[in-house]
Amino acid sequence: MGKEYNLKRIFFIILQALSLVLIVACISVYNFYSTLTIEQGDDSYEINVPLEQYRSDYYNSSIFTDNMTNTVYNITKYAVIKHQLETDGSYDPNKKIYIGQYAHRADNNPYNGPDAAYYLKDLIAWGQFGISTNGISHSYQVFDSWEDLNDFFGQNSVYTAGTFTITDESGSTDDISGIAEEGADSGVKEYSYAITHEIDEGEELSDSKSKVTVFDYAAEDGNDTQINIDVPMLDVISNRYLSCDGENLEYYAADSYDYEQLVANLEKSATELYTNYRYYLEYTEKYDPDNSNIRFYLRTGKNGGDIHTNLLNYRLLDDDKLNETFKSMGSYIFACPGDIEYLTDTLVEYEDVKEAIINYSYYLPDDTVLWVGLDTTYPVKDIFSINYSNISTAVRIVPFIISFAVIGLLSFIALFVIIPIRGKNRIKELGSRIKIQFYDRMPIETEILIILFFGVVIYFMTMSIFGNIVWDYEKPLKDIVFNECVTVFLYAFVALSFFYHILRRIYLHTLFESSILVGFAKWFDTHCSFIKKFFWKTYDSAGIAIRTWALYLCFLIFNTFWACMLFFSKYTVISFLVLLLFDGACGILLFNRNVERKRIFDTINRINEGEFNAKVETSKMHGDNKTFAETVNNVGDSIRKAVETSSKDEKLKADLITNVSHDIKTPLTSIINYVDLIKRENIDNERVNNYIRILDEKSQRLKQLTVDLVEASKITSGNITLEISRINMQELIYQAQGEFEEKYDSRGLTLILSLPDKPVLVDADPRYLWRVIENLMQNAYKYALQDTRVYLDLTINEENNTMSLSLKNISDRQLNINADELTERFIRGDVARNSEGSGLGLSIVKSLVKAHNGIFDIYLDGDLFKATVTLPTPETDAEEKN
Amino acid sequence: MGAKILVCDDDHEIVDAIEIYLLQEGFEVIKAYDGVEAIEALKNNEIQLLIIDVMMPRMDGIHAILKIRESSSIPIIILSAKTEDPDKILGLNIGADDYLPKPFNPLELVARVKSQLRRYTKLGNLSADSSEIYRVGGLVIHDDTKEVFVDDEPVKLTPIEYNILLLLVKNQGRVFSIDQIYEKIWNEQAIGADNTVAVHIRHIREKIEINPREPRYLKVVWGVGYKVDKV
Repeated sequence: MGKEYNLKRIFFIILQALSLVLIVACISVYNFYSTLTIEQGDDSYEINVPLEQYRSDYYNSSIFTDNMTNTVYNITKYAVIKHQLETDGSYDPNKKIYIGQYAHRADNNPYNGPDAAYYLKDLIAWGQFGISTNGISHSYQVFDSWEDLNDFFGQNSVYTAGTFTITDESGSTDDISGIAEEGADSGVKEYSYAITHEIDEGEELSDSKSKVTVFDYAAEDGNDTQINIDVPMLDVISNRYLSCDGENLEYYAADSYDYEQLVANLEKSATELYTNYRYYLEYTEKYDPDNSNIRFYLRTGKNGGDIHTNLLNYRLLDDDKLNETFKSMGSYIFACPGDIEYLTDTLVEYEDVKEAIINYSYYLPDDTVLWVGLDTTYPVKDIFSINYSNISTAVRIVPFIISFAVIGLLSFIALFVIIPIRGKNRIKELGSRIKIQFYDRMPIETEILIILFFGVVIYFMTMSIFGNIVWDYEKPLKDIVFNECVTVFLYAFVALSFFYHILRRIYLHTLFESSILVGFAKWFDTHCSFIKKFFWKTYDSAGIAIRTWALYLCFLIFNTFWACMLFFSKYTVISFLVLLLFDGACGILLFNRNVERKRIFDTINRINEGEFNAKVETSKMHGDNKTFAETVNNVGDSIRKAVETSSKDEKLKADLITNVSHDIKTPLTSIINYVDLIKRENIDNERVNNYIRILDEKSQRLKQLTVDLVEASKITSGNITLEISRINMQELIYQAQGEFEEKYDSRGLTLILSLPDKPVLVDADPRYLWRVIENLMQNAYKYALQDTRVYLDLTINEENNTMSLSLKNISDRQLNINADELTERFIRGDVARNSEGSGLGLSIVKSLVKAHNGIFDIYLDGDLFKATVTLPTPETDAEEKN
Repeated sequence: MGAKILVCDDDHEIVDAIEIYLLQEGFEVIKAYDGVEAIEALKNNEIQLLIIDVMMPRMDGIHAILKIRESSSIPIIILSAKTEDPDKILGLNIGADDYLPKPFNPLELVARVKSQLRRYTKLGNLSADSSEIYRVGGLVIHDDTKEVFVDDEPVKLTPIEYNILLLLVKNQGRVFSIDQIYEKIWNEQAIGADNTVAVHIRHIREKIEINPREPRYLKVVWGVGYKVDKV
């Protein structure tokens, strides 16, 4: 079971690594085929082209054009080299080469210096290694005297030391001390060319011709005849370089100047011929019709001249036929700069072709004719055919490449999801039965090291087997892809295994188990916690000024010190690290403090919203925040207790009154009943009847009092539920008027109504609102002066969406109390009570109006009593209440 | 002649007082002082009506009523010092027909007793009603003779009062506002309606209700209008 799971797991990881391999393989193949070769002179390099550009028109692409242009350059060069090395169309090793002429073949003026003929094969052979001078340790020959030098060249020259008068071209004369060489047939005039002289000691003047250096010591010892001659040092070539005549080079030189020129010519000729010989071999191979799809035909003259071509049957073709042949090839170029004729179906520029010919104008005249063609059926494999086949392959396989790459990518991503989910489910499924292996527990650092070790092993393994994995175009495609795939697979497998194992450890919560770093941190925490404790203890016990300023100062000093260290000392790295750690720690500390504060504010808000149980966790806080949090907790507690006590008290009070009233009611019932029975006994005694009347009245009053008491306590303790409905105030007032009409009539009271025209609606509990009106009307009925008017006004206050109901009457007795006492007289119990009222009526009204979010107001002015009820009208209140 | 009435209260004086009133009206009274005794008395006597207190020792009124309602459908009036709405609702829901809070007006109690008895004994005669007769509980209106009876007692109403009552009884359950009643009865546009209708209504209530402050038939919907509830 477990084994099967693990096998599947490994299988999945391999699958994912293979997905990655698939993607890499796709990229490699695409890279390979989208790579074209550009040749430029002797170099060639690979370029990765964007496929879109080349898909449609390869023959107009810049790469093709560049390659064709390069071919044209190569062909003109090839023609020139052929001319140098061949006699009658084939390589002639015994061709005589005049080194002077050859070396100066590109000069504008014909060469007329000393010259010598050498065999071509010799020159090429010498060119390989360079011309060596005489001896190995001495690259130059020192001659003891001018005579020796002359002997070396086999000539006689006369040298005269002394003072000469030199007349230069402008006619001025100058006296010069020195040595003059006297040629066999040289006149005085030539002397000046042969003189190298010195005006001041140590200053060397050298004539360009002889390079003979003369030091004039005459001024020193006063003797003009005694002159030391410094004899020239010459590079002398070994005497194995023999010309066609079997002679050494000095044989052809009249003097050291000639000799040097000849040596230079020989060296140049040998080197260049060797180079050209190599080009000759390369191009002969390259443009051999069996190796190349390129055909060319070059003739050094419009109507005749040397012909260089790789066409086999060129002798049979005249110019028209040549045109036909080349045009039929697919791509062709025809150029004849002399006639400014240029025909092509490629994008090769005329300027380039012209330049390719003009470059070799010493051999290729203006009227050179050149045909270059490319056989686009590609009968043989060359750079053109490879480029073409690459680009067309790339275009063809791109859809497959993309498909495979997408498949690889999708399966890679899918497995990225599947594998962790499987692992997680497995862990969930097994629960505590899961076996935590040693590798799930080993220190994470060890695991990382092991993985790194594997990485290094794979690196060296692949390096030694496959060589450098970096793209190598020389290898065939399948080798490249194979190497890459194997390497990528190995890396991917190791990396993915590691990744998933880390995930597994995270699920198992064993990631940092036995981790060395974490262990060290814990050890540090337990063994060095006294530092922390000491810090916080000091901090907590310090005053506010010390806490802030002292800490800030520490911060500044520390930072400044290490900043100075950073900029002005050599401990840059250490200072930087210290600063980074310290400032980072300060940042974390500040952040933590703000987080704590945020928690405290949140708690305050919760308490504010009525959640009095909200608490802040204070055990990890320090300093101000700790005090702050504890205070908040205490405040919350206090509020909770107060609220609990208060609501409990209210409830107790209401319950008490209700219960007491029950107990009062039962005996009261008997009293009322028996008083009533006594009344029916028709007692004649007037006094007794009077007593009975009093008993009756007072028992009735007691009855009313108990009812009011219960109701008042219920309402004031908020122990009622409102059943809100829409009420028409006018209707209510009329109903009230109807209920009270006869009562009012009995006391001679006239009710004057003043109501608005439109209906006034309020949302209220009808029964309680009726109680409000009833109590007010009852109040007026009881206390209004007999035969007066009672005014009831209903008004709408548009501006604050309320309505007011006011009831005014003239009191029949002096109101020697203030307005507030009227509603609270029962509760206060400090004013003498009289009449039949319980004194609870207005108190109930006030509570009921308050319960409806309204305001109840009493206004007293002399004997005028005015009660006002203000209630919100539904326009504003509708949304709140619903 | 009188019906047998069982009076049950743990307060002997109250029971005695009630007995006096009921005897004066010609009823026969059987007394009980707790729920158990009441059930016992009910078994042994042909009782027509039960007046019972709630708070009593041994078995309280609520449990007693529940027990009684298992076998009997006689009218039950609860007499209780508990005057809260929930208490009343509980009492009426478990099967009591009326609920009278203590301290009560003895005359009101007698009136309610009579009312309950009449309804209870007349329950079988309803089939004789013609189409001209409107009935709401104990309130009966004979439209052909323009007579109104409450629990078989004739009530004298003025023509306007009669018309208002008839309108409300004909449309039981519907609430009429003052303006609507005015327009229907006086056949005039109600311009700035006044308290005329309200006064008439109160007069009607005083005539047909036992306790006008707690009407059984003609109810006030405060701030909306008046109605007669369907029974």
